[in-house]
Amino acid sequence: MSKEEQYQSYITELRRGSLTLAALSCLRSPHYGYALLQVMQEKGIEIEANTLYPLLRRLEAQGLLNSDWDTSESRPRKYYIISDMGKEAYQELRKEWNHIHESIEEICREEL
Amino acid sequence: MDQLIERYVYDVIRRLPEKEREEVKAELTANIYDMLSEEPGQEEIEKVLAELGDPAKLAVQYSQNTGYLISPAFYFDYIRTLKWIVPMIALIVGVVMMCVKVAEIIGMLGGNENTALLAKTVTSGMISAGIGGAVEGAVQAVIWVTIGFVIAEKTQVSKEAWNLKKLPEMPDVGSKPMSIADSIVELILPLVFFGILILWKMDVIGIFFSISGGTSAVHVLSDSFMNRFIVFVFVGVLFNTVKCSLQIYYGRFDKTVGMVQILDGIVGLAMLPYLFRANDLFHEEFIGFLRTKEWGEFDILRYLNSQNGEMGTVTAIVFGFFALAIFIEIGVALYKMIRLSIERKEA
Repeated sequence: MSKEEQYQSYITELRRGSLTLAALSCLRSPHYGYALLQVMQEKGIEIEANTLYPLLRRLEAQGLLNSDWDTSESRPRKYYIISDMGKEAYQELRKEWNHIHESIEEICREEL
Repeated sequence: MDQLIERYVYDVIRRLPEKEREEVKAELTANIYDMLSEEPGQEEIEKVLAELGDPAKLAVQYSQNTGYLISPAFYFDYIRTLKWIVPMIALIVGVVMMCVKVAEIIGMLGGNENTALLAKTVTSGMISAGIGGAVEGAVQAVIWVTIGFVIAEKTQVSKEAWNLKKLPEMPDVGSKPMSIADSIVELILPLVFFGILILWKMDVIGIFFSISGGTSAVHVLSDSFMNRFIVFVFVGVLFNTVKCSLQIYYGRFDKTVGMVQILDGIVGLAMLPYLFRANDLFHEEFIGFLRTKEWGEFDILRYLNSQNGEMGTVTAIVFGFFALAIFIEIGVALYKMIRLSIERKEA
């Protein structure tokens, strides 16, 4: 693995943990799959379609999201929205995120 | 052109369990069309599909299970088990098939006086049967070990959380690691000896003496003794196989190895009376052969036969040697085990 690839894998690891929190946060209002992808990417979240779609499916299977099919247009489109359980999970994750953020900042600020 | 999207989606869902397929197909297709404009051109479709990437990888993301046949949790133990079971089973099956083949050939060519032909057929048959048996044994061993571990994986056998009690003992502090080559040789030699014994019993090989002008094989050991001896050796070979497999597994002397050795010795001792119970060590042919020789003053026959049901002297000596060898074996094992436990206490 080259140096760049090595760094990239660490960065990917770092990002991966935050995806669920980001998705849950956005889904406090309903979104179609692709639309959600665009929203997240606009906000600067580095995420690909082949990661997001399976993630949404998984979160729904775990009860954190609800989904439905919009059949009002010519072709049916599935949209997701956060569930009650998802809202609880979101609060937990947000707390933990802040906690991690503080800890890391403190560690990095320390004079060595 | 739509075919491209359909084919892509199909390539993803075919890797998923059946009950997932319809849903994922609907979702993924809808998402893909969302990513395209109203009347998408070929190029646009290709670009979007390329963005989604390898269907195989996408399917992995979608699937619920870990995708491992044997996960990292079990993998190390799996490989380690294979390493010692497969050679052991291959060896045993190979040797057994060799003996079976030899018996078969004898059965077919039995009565044929041409020992050269017999030897040649037996040798070539033996080797191919041996190799075939070993290969088949190895394959079977791999299959069953793998199945066993896959089952353990699926049922997640060790649900019990790890705790300190599960730590294995340290491999023997101070005792030298045994080379695998040594242990393998130790494993094979008795098997070879057993094979030779069987061949001897089958009259494929024999000890030749010249009797009145011609050479022929004379049976030295009596049939009944031979049969008992084969049983005796077989039991010994079994113990030895177990012991050597353990040695290979542990990589050095361990008290389990010592215990197997001692058990082997005890069983061996217990079998000695059975082995030597009747004074039938030597075959009549051999005794008859000896009679044809002039021994002068030294009447060897007297030492072979018994008077009044006592064991002949020679039989007694042979018995003595066996017993002594077994005692030494037990003694060595005990010594090693004692030394081992002393070293452990000091360590």
